[in-house]
Amino acid sequence: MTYMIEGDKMVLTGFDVIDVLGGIPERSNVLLIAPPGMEKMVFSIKMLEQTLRAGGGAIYVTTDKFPSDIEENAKTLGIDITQHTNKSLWFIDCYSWTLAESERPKERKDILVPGPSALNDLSIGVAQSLRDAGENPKIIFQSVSTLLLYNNPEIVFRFLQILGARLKAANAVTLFHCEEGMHDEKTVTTLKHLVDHVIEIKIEADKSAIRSSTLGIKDWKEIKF
Amino acid sequence: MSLELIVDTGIPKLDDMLGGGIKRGSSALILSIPGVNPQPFILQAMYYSLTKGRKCIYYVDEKFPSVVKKQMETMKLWERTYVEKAVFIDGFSWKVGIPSNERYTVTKSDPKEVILTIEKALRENRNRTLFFYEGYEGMPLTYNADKALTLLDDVISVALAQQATLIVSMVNWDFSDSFIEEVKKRFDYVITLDSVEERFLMRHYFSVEKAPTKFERLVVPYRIGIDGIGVYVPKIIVTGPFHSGKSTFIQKISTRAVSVDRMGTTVALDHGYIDHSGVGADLFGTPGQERFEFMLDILKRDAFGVILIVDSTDPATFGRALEMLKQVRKEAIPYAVAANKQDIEGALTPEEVRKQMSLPAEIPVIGTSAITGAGCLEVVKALIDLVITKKIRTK
Repeated sequence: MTYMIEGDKMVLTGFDVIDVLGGIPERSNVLLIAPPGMEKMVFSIKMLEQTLRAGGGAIYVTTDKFPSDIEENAKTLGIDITQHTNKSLWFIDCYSWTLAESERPKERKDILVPGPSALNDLSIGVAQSLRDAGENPKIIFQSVSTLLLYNNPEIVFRFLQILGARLKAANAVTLFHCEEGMHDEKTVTTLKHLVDHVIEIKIEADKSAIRSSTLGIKDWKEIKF
Repeated sequence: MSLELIVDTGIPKLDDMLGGGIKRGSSALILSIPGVNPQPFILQAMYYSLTKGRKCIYYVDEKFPSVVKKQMETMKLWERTYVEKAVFIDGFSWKVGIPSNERYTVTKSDPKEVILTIEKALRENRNRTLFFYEGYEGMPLTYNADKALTLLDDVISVALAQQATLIVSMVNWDFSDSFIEEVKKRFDYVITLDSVEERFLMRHYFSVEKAPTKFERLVVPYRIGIDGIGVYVPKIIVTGPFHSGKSTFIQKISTRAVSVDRMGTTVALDHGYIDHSGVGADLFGTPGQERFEFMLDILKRDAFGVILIVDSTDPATFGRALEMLKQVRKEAIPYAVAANKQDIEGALTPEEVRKQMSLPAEIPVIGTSAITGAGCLEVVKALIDLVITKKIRTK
């Protein structure tokens, strides 16, 4: 449990339900849990838009999608992030190298990590891009679930603990995506324990709701994507 | 020991520290902290062995072998005729369900199969073979510590039985000290990689922790450059009084140099990069004019060493020189003195300079002529020796 300290700088998410309460404190690791679907990505892209528009830097780690897919998805939301790619937004692509060579995208300048098991290469990739991402970078990590799929949970926990500490040292706000229902309870409890804040999203009959006790949303509140 | 029996790592300084290299038929562990990549070390060692016609086998289970080849390419360790001679054991493709193109493949999560596949590959390629095992940390993370150690014992005994030289890389993901000790115990050589991390800058060091023969206990800063891993000192400050010859010194020895000067005197900054026999260093000159002394504070941050340049023909400036040394040098940062202008008649000898400046005996004082270049490189080398001899504080 992390309590907000008065004077902490806050980061706006672009969603009123969180922003009216201040937003997300700087230097924090956030676990974003939602059922499989687009909501986590939409949430992240909207938050990125706030940052990028204000001239801030961001890193998008992808383990289950091509970076170009993320850009496409943003476009369908009416947000063009391609103008920022490799200028203030850096992709770390852990996905392409798990595919046969013919299927990998060409002519992109993303940092390539050879697959979701190459965790040391991934931490080196993050360290590299942190150098370019400015003072208060936002990091989207999509997703922890893929790492858990390919690795022993023990290694993922160690990795997240070390990475999380480094990211906080770099004044970052990081959203770690987690697919609800994919992991056992013990794994989820450990993940929650490793971060500063947990944001949960649920979808019921076409309506989405959000909850985050550490960010001040104790009961489920409606959120529109 | 005859050189025939030695496998070099492809990193001259590391070979020196190991007493020539790694003995054939022994085992070596390259152990790094998370965020520092041990892989370039085994790639470089493999590439150099391949160029010498040695047989190399490479086991990897966290990425495709094709990716490893690609990484060699980005490290410029790439000449097809050599790289294609490497034999890969593919322990990864099955994980993502893609058929492997390699001759030796593991097909399921079964340590027994891993050992059998390694044994088969080593037996069928038995010829003073080098066996590289990338990412041993996968074992203790997948199985419990005891099982992981048993596996390691199996890998080592299989390699020894086939008279191969074994080189293993491992990232220490916060394993218990007792486990790491057990792992180290099993190897003849242990090379550790460490780093000091700052906001934007990571400094990496390698050191030898264990070897069967006499070895040097040094902590050596390195970086991965366009031609592989090399010793690299990121910041050496060159200082000295007005007209002592700082800019000339930097320009004379640098592979590349820039100077911000006005009417022949440096107003803000000299910078040079020197690269000689596998040792690289960045040199920063201090401004000669007092109104730019605020820059000293910026410059002296994180300096590895200081070169003090004095005009051997002008002892009146020695006091000022020592003053400048004090300004840039934090306690415990090594320094060397260049007794410059030796080409001019009447210059004091280096020993006379040492005496007049009351410099301790362990400080190198070397006669130089920045104009002709005589002695300049020796000063830098003497300083670098001090930098890496001195145990640098690592995290």
